[in-house]
Amino acid sequence: MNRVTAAPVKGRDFNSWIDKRLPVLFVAPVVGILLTLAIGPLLFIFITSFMSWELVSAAAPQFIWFRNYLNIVLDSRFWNAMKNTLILLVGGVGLQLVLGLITALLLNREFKLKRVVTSLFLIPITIAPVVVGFQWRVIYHESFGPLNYIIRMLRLGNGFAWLADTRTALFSILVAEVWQWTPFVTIVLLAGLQSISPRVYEAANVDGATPWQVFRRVTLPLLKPTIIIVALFRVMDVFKIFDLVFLLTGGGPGTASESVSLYTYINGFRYFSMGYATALAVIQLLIVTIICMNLVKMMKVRRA
Amino acid sequence: MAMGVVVLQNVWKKYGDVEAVKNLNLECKEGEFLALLGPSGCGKSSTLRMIAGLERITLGSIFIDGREVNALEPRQRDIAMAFEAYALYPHLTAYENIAFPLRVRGMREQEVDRRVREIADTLDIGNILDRLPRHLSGGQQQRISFARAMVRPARVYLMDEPLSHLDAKQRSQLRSELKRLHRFKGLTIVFVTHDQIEAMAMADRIAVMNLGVLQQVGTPLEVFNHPKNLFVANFVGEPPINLLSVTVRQEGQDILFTGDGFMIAMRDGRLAAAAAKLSTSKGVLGIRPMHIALHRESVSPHSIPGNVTLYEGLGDTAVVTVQVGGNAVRVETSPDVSVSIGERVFLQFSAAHVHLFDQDTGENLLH
Amino acid sequence: MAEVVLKNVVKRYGELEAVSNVSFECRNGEFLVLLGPSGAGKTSTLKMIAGLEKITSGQVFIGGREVNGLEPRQRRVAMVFENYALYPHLSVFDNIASPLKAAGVAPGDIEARVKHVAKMLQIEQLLDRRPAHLSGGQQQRVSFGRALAKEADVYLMDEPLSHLDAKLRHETRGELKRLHGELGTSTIYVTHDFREALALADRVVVLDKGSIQQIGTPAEVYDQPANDFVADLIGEPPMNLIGCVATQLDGSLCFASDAFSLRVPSHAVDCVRGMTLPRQVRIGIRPTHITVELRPAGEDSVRAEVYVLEPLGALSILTVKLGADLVKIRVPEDFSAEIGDQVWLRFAEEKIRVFDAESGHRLV
Ligand SMILES: Nc1ncnc2c1ncn2[C@@H]1O[C@H](COP(=O)(O)OP(=O)(O)OP(=O)(O)O)[C@@H](O)[C@H]1O
Ligand SMILES: Nc1ncnc2c1ncn2[C@@H]1O[C@H](COP(=O)(O)OP(=O)(O)OP(=O)(O)O)[C@@H](O)[C@H]1O
Ligand SMILES: [Mg+2]
Ligand SMILES: [Mg+2]
Repeated sequence: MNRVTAAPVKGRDFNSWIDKRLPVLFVAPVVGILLTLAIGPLLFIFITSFMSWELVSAAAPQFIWFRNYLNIVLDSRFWNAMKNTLILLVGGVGLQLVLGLITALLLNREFKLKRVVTSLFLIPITIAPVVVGFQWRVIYHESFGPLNYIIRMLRLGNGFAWLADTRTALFSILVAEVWQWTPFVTIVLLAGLQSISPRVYEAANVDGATPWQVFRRVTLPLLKPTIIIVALFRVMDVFKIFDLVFLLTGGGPGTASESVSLYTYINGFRYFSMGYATALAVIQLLIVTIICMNLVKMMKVRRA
Repeated sequence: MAMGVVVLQNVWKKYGDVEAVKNLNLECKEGEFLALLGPSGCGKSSTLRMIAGLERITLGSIFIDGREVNALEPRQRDIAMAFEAYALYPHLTAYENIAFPLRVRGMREQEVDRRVREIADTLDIGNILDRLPRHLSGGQQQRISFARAMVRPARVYLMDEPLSHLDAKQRSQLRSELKRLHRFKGLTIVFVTHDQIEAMAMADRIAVMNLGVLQQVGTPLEVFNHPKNLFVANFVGEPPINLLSVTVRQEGQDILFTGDGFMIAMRDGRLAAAAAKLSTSKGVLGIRPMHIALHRESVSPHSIPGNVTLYEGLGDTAVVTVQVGGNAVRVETSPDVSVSIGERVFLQFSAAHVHLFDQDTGENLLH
Repeated sequence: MAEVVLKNVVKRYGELEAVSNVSFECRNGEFLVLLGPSGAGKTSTLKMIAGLEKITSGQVFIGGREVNGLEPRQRRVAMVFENYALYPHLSVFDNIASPLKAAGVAPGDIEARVKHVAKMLQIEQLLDRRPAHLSGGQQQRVSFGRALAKEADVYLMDEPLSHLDAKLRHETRGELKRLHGELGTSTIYVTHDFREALALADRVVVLDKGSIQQIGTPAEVYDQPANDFVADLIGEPPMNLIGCVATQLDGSLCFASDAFSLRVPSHAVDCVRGMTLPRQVRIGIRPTHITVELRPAGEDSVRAEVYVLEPLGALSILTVKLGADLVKIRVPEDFSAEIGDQVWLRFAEEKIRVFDAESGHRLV
């Protein structure tokens, strides 16, 4: 009797052992990879940011404590890059959210060809940023670009040097960024909208709420967690904006459209000031972290 | 002709191939309490949702206050509704849920607060007002949904089983509360329920539906005492009426009913007239469980013998099932009557309580 | 097959104690009903047994094994949910079949089992619809079917019949009772409907505000309610509770108030004699155990004034005013009286129960 039951009990023991440790087992590889690929380099960067390490000079790297950070604070080119980045951040993410919400609301209705239209929205997201950069470079081209062609055709003027003009360079980047990422915002918000129970809308309609009130008092609050998540993604992404800037203007003219990431890159790989570049990177990391923590906190407040 | 507040004219509802409501004609008058009663899936909610404007009307028209509302949005119809599945706003507290219809009308916060507190008091939910719906029990959610519907003035109140998750006490409390509101404020209410006791206790009139078709409209007592057909007789009344297939024969002044395992003779003018309307000699005899007396000895030659097969105590009453030939006859008795399974008993009832139905059409021949 | 034991189980949601120190046992093969008003903690208790809510403190045993740390699927229970919890993307058939598929039942058997319960619940013709295309009562039956089709040690049912009409509820109740008799699976059934509880239960656990008020057979909770709460919960209308004083008048024991004086019935004499008199009590009597006469009927009849008469079809409920209390009585449907009429009540002596006015506990 005992023997007969012994085996299954053992099997069950193993199962429950697995059950208890399953989460740990699942997470372990990720933690391992994170440790080697993320935390390791991060530590390296962190340490380097306290050093003077010029690859072009023969001098050995030197530990200089906070000197790099001090220099950054006093560096007006850094502040200029910061300003550009924030403009892109606020303008870009803001526009993406507003446009994304509007398109998501439109797509959430029933209409013919809904599937086709929704899939068309996926296209910009799937294109590599490099390709997007070149595509917009063509669009903005002063003499051959379709944009100026249209302007001339409509006799609105002679066209602009979109990317070479200090007044329009940053703005042009922003447009390209919004073009590429609004559809992503749309798709995520659409998923959020579809998870709201239709019963709630029925109730609101019966309760006498106008379409605007339904939007303000029901849709928006219920969509808020989704909005925050998608904003989070976009903020992190735009803050690091590099490829579009690099490809479209290279930060120019002058430093008119230089972003912090680009400035970091220039320091590291054009001036080869490793210490200064890594200090810039650390500052960016801190800022992104602070922004994200606040957004996550907003999400949690709603939960409680 | 004075028109009712809500009028349904030849209304149909189809969901694809499913015909949920078929050619419904119904009217709810000013200040009337109309109950829609019927088995699960008979089209009660569909009807209510069409009145509310939540479901497209496939065919026919609905009028509210004489105005055709087929094309109007729910919010333009001046209705309030308590939903079958509550449909509370998940992001709002119980208080905000109840206040919602008032706030969207731009009512002053002070007035909103007064009204919400007042209705919360009557429904005994004052202590849960600051909770989100997902932190409430089923019955509490249902009361919030009920409160949200009742808190504001509306031309018609539509309620879809608003009391189904409440205990007997609260239910009877809400029942009388609703009845009081209805009487004193002259509210017009269309009330969906599957609970005939609820319908009986509250409604001015009951509309009984089956398979999307209206079977009978009448006052509670009409529906109970003069059911128009087999379905209504069978549906209204708990435990349900006993239906026995019989052959009917006239023998002098007596009407003779012969069924599986029994034969009774009755002398009654009404019954005779009804029997004469039978197309064949076959009919269905209906007798309610509470109208049957149960004896342990044969008290008269007209009593029907049978064996007890089941005894269910329900507290204030008991239901005894007696096998008579191939028929299981339910008898409602006082719980003090003690019978044992298998015991032989005798059943007796008077002609005044008997219904006679046509076997084919199901029609009640006594009316 | 297994018994379920709860030992000092507590459930707290933040500050709120939804279940306080509850202990009871559902014996092997027993049909146990949890009865209580809205918010009593019935669903919370059931969810803790199922493993869907964390147990704040105390222990739950299923089949002798502590299950506090086990996942729901390891507890071998089947549950019917109060709000159905159907899979919206699956057909009715697949909804009912899903626990069977998860358990690796052969496809042929799945089909047979699903068809069987669908027939029992009268939803055969709905098997390929999606839940969104069903009426409320139909959805509830699907949820019920999904639990019944599954093979489990314990069935947990949270108000599975609340959305069904009387006839269907009657039939389903009968089927359920038959099924339980056949399979003998331990079942814990939550309801707020005392009729359902009395008709189905082997034993009833009465809950209020998270605490157990009484555990007993249907006959016990009906006939000998442990306190005024239980008396008030069971019966429609529930037991009448009439405030009065137990005292000694002219050498004989009686219950007296401004409105009446009633000889203490023989089964209560010993108890009343043991009290310090006079003492505030409430006497309880069911609406069926009072007879109404239109003229004085003997010295132990009590005079009252008609308050309202509600006809309910098969019978009527007469409410009379007796001193400060309203007393409800079941009367035959042909009874007639006008508001304000005088009537005389006669209580069935042996059915009188006595409750302490303060604590509410039953004394007799
Ligand atoms: N959206 C839908 N699509 C397809 N069929 C539906 C839909 N809604 C309801 N039905 C069907 O229409 C019929 C009537 O449904 P309805 O909801 O009106 O019933 P009900 O009388 O309210 O029943 P219950 O008492 O069970 O809630 C049912 O057979 C149901 O399956
Ligand atoms: N997730 C939750 N968070 C906070 N409080 C809760 C939660 N779930 C239930 N409660 C509260 O706990 C108490 C008991 O709830 P429970 O759902 O167990 O009641 P119930 O007896 O099933 O009532 P009903 O018959 O209304 O369904 C209630 O006061 C309820 O508001
Ligand atoms: Mg319904
Ligand atoms: Mg519950």
